[in-house]
Amino acid sequence: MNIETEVRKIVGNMLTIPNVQYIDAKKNLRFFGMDSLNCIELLLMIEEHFKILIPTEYLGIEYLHNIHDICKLVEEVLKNEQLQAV
Amino acid sequence: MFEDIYGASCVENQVLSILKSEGNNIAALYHNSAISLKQVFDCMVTEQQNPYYFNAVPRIQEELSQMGIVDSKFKQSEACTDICGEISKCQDGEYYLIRVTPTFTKVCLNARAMRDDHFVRVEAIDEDFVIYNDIPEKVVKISADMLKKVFANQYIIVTPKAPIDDLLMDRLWKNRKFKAEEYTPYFFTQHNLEGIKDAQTRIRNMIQIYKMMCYRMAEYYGLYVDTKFIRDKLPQIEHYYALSQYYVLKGDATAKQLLKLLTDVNSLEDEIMSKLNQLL
Repeated sequence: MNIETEVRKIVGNMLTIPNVQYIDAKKNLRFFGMDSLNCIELLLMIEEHFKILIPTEYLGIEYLHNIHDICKLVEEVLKNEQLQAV
Repeated sequence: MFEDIYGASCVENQVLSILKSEGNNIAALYHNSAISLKQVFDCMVTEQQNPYYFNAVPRIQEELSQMGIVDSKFKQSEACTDICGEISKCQDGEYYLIRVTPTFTKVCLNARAMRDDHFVRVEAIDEDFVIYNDIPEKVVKISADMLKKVFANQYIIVTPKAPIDDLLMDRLWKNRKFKAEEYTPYFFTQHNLEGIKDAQTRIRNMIQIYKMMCYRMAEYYGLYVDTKFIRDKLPQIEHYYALSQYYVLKGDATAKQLLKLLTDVNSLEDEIMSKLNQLL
């Protein structure tokens, strides 16, 4: 599973971004209409898609500025969950 | 363009942005920001107001109109209205805010239309038109034909009439509806949430309004004292807002969690207001 490809699909669907696969991973998602309300909706979609639980301290737009940040967060949570499983 | 602008609606954001672009210090216009959390609670939780029609704090553009600082003319277009021609011929110092269609709002501006009526500022540049959207901040160039298609038949002509000077700042200070120095602590208990339907949504709406007021307070009282202590608290209030939205979407918050959220915001208010009172 390529995390970035999956994250791009989720972000693109939620924010209605055409050609989401081509946008700069570091482009601020506020430009596409992300705000402090729908970023939580996005976070829940990410949780559901990757079957993970993002700690509540990461709730907030400051942790989800761009696709790159979201991927890093998902990778970190997945890594921690794997560590806890062993 | 819309940085440090904390309007309660798109029109308020646009009016503030126009005044800022003319060199005014718009922080002075946030004079009614020190509304207490209890007052916001009463509007948003007890009375269940919609946050997009919150009216306990007067709309800035209405106050400015009443004081003769800004002239705002609301117009409904008629069959003969040539909106492109009108905008092209607008006078210096006149700004056009036009209502745009929901599809254009969502698809081209990526704006979350929480109300049906979304207004943007439009300027004529050569044969084309430039649209300035507030949230998300976006500048889009469109043709006259496109403008006619996206125009939703209502527009507002905004004309600043006087600058925000020391005299006006004094007047605004004296006319404050909510005064930080009159803050009386109020502490919420479980009793406040008893019998409230859909309490999580109501609390989310309350924090949405209170958060905006905290940003405004940092700006307004920052004209008189150092409000770094308020700015330092803003990430915390943003977190509470995010948590409240998380509870709304999950739909499984317990009464204990909601009370904890409410009392956390309440403590934050008390810290801010106590410190602000010491400094004023």
